[in-house]
Amino acid sequence: MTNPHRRLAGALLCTLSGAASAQEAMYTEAATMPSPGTLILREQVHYFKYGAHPIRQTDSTEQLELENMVYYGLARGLAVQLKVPVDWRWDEEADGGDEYDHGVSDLDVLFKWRIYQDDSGGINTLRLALLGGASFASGDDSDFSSGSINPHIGGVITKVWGRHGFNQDLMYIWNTGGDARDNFGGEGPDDAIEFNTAYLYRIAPGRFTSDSTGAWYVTAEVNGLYETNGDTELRFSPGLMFEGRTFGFELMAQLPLWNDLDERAELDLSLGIGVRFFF
Amino acid sequence: MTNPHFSSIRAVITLAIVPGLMLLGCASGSGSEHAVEENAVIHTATPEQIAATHSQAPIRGDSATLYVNGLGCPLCASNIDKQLLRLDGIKEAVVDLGAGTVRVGFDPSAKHPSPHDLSETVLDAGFTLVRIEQQ
Repeated sequence: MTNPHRRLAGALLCTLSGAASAQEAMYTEAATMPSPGTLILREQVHYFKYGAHPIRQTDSTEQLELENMVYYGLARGLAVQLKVPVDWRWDEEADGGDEYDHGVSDLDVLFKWRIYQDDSGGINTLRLALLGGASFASGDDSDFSSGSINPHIGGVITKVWGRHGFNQDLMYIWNTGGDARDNFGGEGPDDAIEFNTAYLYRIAPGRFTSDSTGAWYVTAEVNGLYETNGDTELRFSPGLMFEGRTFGFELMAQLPLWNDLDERAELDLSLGIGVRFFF
Repeated sequence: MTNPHFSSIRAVITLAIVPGLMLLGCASGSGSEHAVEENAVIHTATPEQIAATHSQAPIRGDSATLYVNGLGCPLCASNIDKQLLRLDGIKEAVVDLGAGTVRVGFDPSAKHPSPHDLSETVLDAGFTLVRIEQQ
């Protein structure tokens, strides 16, 4: 096993041994949130395989990202999310050499404010929330941090109807720093628009009973990113999720659906695993 | 001459909206048979029952059943029982996702909460209290 792959395996094992809210898919925001004073810890590990990067002059890149997320309910209908991503990256360069780097990416703070709620049945609900926050330079001198403060604002709508759940989010990101060389999607010097659609279907139980303490869901997402340099990308993300009363577990993948990219690498494949704990 | 950025934006919007609408259609259209089965529980209340949830007088009796709308998932259950257990006078809260109810047991040695307290706590948790049955 090569050194980079040993590190990758080690990081995966660390995460698995170490360890959003409800009806929340893997990549798409939801208009649900923890109640005041409660906290959700969410850990996700993503493996990304990219093709050639036109500015980095690399043939391919593998990246492992550990996303540490904390959600906290501040008040009725108001919650905050803190995200700390730690990354490991292996480049295969065009001249045949390899390069490895690791570091802490920008820290992200996101406030979620629910502005509309219509609970029309025991299960049914329709909710709308505004999103606003910023990512901050982590202080890491690696290539992963933009070294800047990047505000973002958007919104999300969630509809739960029986066994079906639907989330749609939209976010505008003002990138005030960043380097095109280190951009793998929304991290470069250009502004970005993220838009994600998620559908969740509860596969078990078919009907909740008084004994129900957990539920299994399959998820299907379309994750979009447009950058003001013209680069655009759509990914399809299938997933499987278990949600209990105090913990959750999720498996996810991402596949390229459509893209028009000139200034960054195309995604070949992404795989991920995650856990959530409710305190 | 068409700006290539506008072409990209148009393509992206089209590609994003189409699957979005398809998924929304699944959620509200083709899934309606399941939805009807699942949504047999739709709590309703008379004007008197709604008014009663705003009462400031402490609840009498040992327990009460709260009929709650919007309890869509197991994690929701934790949100609501954690909030209720923080309220003075409540010693237990049992969520029934199938019935869309929460049964709360009161501490006999403490002052019982009022329906208004319970209603506000359910709202804090992110749900809607439709009516209360006192036992």
